[in-house]
Amino acid sequence: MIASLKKYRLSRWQYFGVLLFFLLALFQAVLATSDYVICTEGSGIFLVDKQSCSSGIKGLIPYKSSDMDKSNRAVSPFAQQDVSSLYYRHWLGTDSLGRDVLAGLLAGCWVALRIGILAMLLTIIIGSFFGYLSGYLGDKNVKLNYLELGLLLLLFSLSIFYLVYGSSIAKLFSIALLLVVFVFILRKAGHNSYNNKLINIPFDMLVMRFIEIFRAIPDIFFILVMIGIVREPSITSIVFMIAIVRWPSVARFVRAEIMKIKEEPFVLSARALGLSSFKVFKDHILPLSLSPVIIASAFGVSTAILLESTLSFLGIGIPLNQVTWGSMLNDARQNISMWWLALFPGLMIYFVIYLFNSIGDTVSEQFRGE
Amino acid sequence: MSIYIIKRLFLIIPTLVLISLLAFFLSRMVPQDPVIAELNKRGQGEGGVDISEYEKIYNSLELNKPEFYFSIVPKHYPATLNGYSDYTQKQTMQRLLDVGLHHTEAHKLINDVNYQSNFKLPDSELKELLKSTHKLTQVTIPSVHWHGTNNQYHSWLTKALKGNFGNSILDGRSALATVGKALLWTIHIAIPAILFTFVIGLLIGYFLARKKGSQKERLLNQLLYVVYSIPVFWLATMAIMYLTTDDYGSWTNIFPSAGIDIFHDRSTLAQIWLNSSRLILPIVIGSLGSIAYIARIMRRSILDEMKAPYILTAYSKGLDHEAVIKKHALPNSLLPFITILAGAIPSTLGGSVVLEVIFNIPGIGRLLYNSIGQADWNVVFCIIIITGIVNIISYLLADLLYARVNPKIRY
Repeated sequence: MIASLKKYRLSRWQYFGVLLFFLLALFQAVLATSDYVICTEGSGIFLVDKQSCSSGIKGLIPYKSSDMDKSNRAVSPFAQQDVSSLYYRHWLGTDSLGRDVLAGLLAGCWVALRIGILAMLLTIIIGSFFGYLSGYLGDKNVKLNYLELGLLLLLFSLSIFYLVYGSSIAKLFSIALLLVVFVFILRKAGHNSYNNKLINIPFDMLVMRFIEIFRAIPDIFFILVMIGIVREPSITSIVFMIAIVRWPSVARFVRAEIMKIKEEPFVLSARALGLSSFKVFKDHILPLSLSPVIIASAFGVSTAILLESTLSFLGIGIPLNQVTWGSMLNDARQNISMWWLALFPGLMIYFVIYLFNSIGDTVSEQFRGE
Repeated sequence: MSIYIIKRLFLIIPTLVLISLLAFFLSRMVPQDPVIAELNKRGQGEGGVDISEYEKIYNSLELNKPEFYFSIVPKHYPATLNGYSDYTQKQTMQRLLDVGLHHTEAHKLINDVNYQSNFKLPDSELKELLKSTHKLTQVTIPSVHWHGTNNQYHSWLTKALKGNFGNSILDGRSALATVGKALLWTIHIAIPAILFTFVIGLLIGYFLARKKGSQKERLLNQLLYVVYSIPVFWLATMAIMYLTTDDYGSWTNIFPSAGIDIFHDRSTLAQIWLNSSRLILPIVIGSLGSIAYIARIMRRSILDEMKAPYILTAYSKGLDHEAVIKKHALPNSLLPFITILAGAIPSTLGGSVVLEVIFNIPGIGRLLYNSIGQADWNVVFCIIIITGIVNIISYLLADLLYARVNPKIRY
């Protein structure tokens, strides 16, 4: 299954870009720190502060993103800085509180990485679940008789009820019940019968109607309302909000691709050979449909990072004391003469978004055989 | 065709209902006590609030009614807990019910003055205590309550259908009027921006497709690629920094500074007109990314069209390359743009938040941002409903137009 993805080739700078982004994000705490990274004389070994360590290896940048250098507030990278040596110089300047911009950029990497990857994963999981379901079940593939339909609806509403009001055992039981309902519907799919007494369940139509409301309300509007309700969002809640607004587009994209694949000659011939509906899906549809999911993931990372930085830019994103690329740009908006606060974080956002967009485009071009 | 139109019109009804449901239930989750907000509006919020006064407003805002037409709750629950206007009383009631106490018993207990001290106990101890005195429900059985039209959603919806979304808590004016005024601003930015985007984008795309394989094409294509990923808020910040101030040399000071002039005695339309020179920069900045997007799709669309068999026929008739692209490929490749044009309205509305906040334009995006910041929730949900309706209608128009133009679609 995974073998179907091996044919994709990214260019060298894309590999390098992703690697660099991950490394900077993962090691930002070591790269930019006012503590000793490794302490040779003092109490403790790793990341020890100045009071309890006298010598050792210092960070590449001697400032944390939250350290405020009171003597160097809002200094430009080219300006005269009040520092003891070149090592302590703020190479990219400081913001209005005296926080080092370079350290802030690195801290922003870590925030962007977490939000980008987590929000993308959640979006893809929810989105492709509904995309596959909608594309696979279609409008005419599930036919039930009245008894089955009534029973399924009853079971479904009962399990939702016990999910809300039941004890923890009842909750587990109702999740199992939901799974049973789900598997039953899947097993019913594709058994095309022309019995007129059966009721057709337009599954695809139902999902698409539901998704329509997300298409009607702009993502950023919806997120703003959710932030207003949550009031003080954390990284986790931002991740959930991004997933809530973004999954419908993934679902639509995956659904459209599944619909195309379903009509491919090799799928039709597999059907004609009498293979079971599940086997056709597992052996013929699933491997090919992984590519759209990969494409959606690459775009998902860049969209999530863009949304997060937009929120921070508007000053309503993750907590204010946390430095992110967006929050630095917000600072720049309020202090219009501090060009360095606008230029560098903006470049970081731009590069990361460009990187993941171009990966998505590369895979998508290769997928369509160009 | 007319049957198709009617069918499509009927299909937007469930979507509108879903949007109203979403907006309504989001509005019930808001971290603000509507009674306190109402009291603040009357200028009575400061200091202690009289309980009877509180309850009077609580009932007049219809908060004592159930939320929806029906509710499914465990059998020992009352049909709704909204009858308790006092928040702590409601919480205590919820605790007692969770333990399994029947609601009539629970109601007696919370009104029993001698029993009050027991509610301070942690959940487990309270449960032990109740076990000894009352018979607790062990198995939760669902029961369905039907409330009819006497519920909060119904009255909210009937009001909304009449255009009454409540008043803004900031100036006391009707929320719909406030939103309408803001929408006027946004639309006057959106329409020139969309026109600008499509004219420039299609021209660039056409040029790229015609010159495919040339040095110029590759360079321009790369440039579009670069522009496409630039975040709007960064571009706007940089533009304000460099293009509206003298800080970096007077020759870069091309555009008037961000923000608009307010003329209190003029109508909104007149104000928009008087500020038109200040709207140029936001329109251009807001369009750049979409120009790149449109140009790339146009190029793709023409190149895809060039693979069609009828193009081969056109070539074999002896037409030259220029004529084939212009007369044959171009008209057909414009077809997908009907759908994209409809999608432009929702995406411009979405993009309006950042653009209007940065450029200080009193449009719908900035109104939403400010209203959320100031907890002016009536305006917020009015915006959500209105944008929802505008967007659904634009998608509907796109579908109808597409069906009209594309002979492949039959109904």
